[in-house]
Amino acid sequence: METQHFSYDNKIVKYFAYATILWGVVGMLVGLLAALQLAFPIFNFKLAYTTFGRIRPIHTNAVIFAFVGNGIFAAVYYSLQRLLKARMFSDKLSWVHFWGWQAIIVSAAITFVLGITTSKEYAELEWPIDIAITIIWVVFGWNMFGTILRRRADHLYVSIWFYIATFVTVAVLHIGNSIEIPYSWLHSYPVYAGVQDALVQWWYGHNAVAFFLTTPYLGLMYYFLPKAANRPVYSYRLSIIHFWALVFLYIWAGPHHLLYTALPDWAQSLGVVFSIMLIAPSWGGMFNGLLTLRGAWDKVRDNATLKFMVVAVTAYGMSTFEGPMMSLKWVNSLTHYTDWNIAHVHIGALGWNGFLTFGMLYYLFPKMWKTKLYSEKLANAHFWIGTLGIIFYALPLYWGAIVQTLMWKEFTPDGLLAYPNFLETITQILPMYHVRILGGLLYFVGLFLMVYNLLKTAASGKCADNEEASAPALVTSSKRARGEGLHRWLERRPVQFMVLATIAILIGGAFEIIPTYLVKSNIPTIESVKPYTPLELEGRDIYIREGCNTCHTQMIRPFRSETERYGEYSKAGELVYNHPHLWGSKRTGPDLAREGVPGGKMYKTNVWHYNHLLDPQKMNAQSIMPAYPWLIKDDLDTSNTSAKIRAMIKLGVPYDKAPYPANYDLVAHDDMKKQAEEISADLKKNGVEVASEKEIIAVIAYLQRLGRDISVKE
Amino acid sequence: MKLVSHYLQSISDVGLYPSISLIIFFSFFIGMIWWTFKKSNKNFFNDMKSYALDDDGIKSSDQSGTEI
Repeated sequence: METQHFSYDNKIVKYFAYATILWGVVGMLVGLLAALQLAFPIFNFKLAYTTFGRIRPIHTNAVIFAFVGNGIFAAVYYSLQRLLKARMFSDKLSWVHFWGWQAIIVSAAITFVLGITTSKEYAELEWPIDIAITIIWVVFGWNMFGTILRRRADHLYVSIWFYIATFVTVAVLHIGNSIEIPYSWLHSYPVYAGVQDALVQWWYGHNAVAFFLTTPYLGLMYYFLPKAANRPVYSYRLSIIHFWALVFLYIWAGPHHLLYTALPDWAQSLGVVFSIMLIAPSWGGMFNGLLTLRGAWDKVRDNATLKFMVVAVTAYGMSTFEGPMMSLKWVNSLTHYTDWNIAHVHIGALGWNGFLTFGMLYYLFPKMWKTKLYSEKLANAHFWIGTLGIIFYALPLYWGAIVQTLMWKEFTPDGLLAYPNFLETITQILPMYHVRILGGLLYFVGLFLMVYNLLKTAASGKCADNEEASAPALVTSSKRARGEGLHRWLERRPVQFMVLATIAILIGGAFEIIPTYLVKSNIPTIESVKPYTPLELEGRDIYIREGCNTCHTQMIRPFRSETERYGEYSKAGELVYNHPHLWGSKRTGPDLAREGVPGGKMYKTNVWHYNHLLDPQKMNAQSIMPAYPWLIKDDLDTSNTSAKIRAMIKLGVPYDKAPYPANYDLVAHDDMKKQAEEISADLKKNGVEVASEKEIIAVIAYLQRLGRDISVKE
Repeated sequence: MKLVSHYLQSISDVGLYPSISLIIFFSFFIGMIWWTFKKSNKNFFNDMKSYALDDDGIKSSDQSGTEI
């Protein structure tokens, strides 16, 4: 057989590795700011651009898509070439991928700061950037499959299967969740509404965790852990079984984010069952990783890379046990909407993704720069500081979550809420928020040590942009050899493999979502539910712009502790005109689903809302809500109102039917003016002079509408 | 979206589809487990275990992973 000479592209790996580090620093720094804001509202700086509602999506997106995203690409570009004994298919595609992804990250940061967001968690980017992501993702896939087709190795190692599943599923998820109708160059409404929108969003959200934060990192683990330990994988059998089980099961588990909400019961149960089953493949992966080190634990003692990887895999195991437990309905009734969720994701993000990335980087730098790590001691220090950081981050939040949820649910012997004022439950756990900042700070200091250590390492060696390699040419045959099993044939045929994996996840996704269209009784219609007025619609868009939904849910669950506090629980039929849904996932402030019910438990006057938005601390000294003074200063932009109405009509909101006049999009402005003047007059009557054109009028109109459609006189 | 649901409702016995897909999934899975434990595949699995370690041409000395 002829031996072929070629080279591995190290330059692209180097760039992705540097980008990982850079965005890691940025993302975690923004995370620190967010943590500070939650404890000390002064850190919102009374500036629109820096309020928590806009900062939080920057933090989550930077860590997930910029830090972990570049980490994925560094790992894929390094390991894929070596596992396939081939250079990446096209250098051009590699560089389009690299710069395209960085451009997306930068445009994401800019649009979030400006309040341009869809409000859907981890899918906040607006439609032009969504399209850019799709294009760059296809470039990545094209490059990967090109390489696979030109490979010199016979088999596809299990890491590559994980990469393929990642590519396919993220593509499907991203497109499925981003179907939206643009009404302007930077804004859109999703085609789904209410319950369906929530279901699609969490089908996406959950599987973004699965296929962006988990499968590529499992692929990474299966390559870099054996490498760093110089040990074979514990069981290749197990790796195959847990791969298929993971791909099959994960896609169904999304509804566990929506337990006790207005989502139909059958969908909730489906999510629970599949979440519990997920423990098996997840722990299969964890054991396979940890047992790979059997007989090599002595190496863990002196090797910081392995230390990071061991803790990462352990954190993966803890997180994937905790997740299914949180999917049990009774556990969920306690943990949901609390900081437990935040602690849970940080075990995953800081422990699993963060530490595995650090392990990979500590392995890659000396290897690629052909030198020794500058300081093993510093790396060890990073490990211990980072581990302490995770503990100091997560434990206070777990503690706070339990305290808060029990306070929410406690009744006096007379049957009244023991803590009727939501703020009390926040003030109580504020010390935990302070400790959490310390945890984040420790983690960040560790990261800083790594940056220094790796830069010093790079300076002491030289990274060859092209690494020479040679391998025998591959004689391929598409026929199945005699006695060759189906799976072995399959894993030599990447295209067929991709098609099968796609079918697997599509069926799972389809059967989770399609029935909500099919079964009419899933979303009972409620006669009294009417579309928003144009002013309320504008107010709602400002609510989305300011990210109010990051702290305020709009979904009252059917518990006495919630109906006593907020009012009647939320119904699916109330939400049919909500493009997008705004259920939220975390209550840092009270639920607002019944905020506008006159005489209801949450009802506040227009003046109260005005004063509260202007200066929350004036109303409640201990409030941690940011102030929104610009809402009073800025005029409401009504240039898109007509386009918004037209987009809503396209989505099935009946602005085109009676009682609305024909061409409602054109006369909507009159309605809007009338309603704004009423609110302005009411404010004036109560001593507040504010022009009816200001943004705050629209926000008040929206808040006063919330939950009103099915209000019963009490 | 109305179009989608209309189309789906027009398929007769559409309710049967989830059961069919479950059966397909389940049998695929069983088949795969059977395949991984087939005796004749033993060597293949042992080779693949250390696959990641071979790629730069340096075989390490201590990669004698024992059978499971």
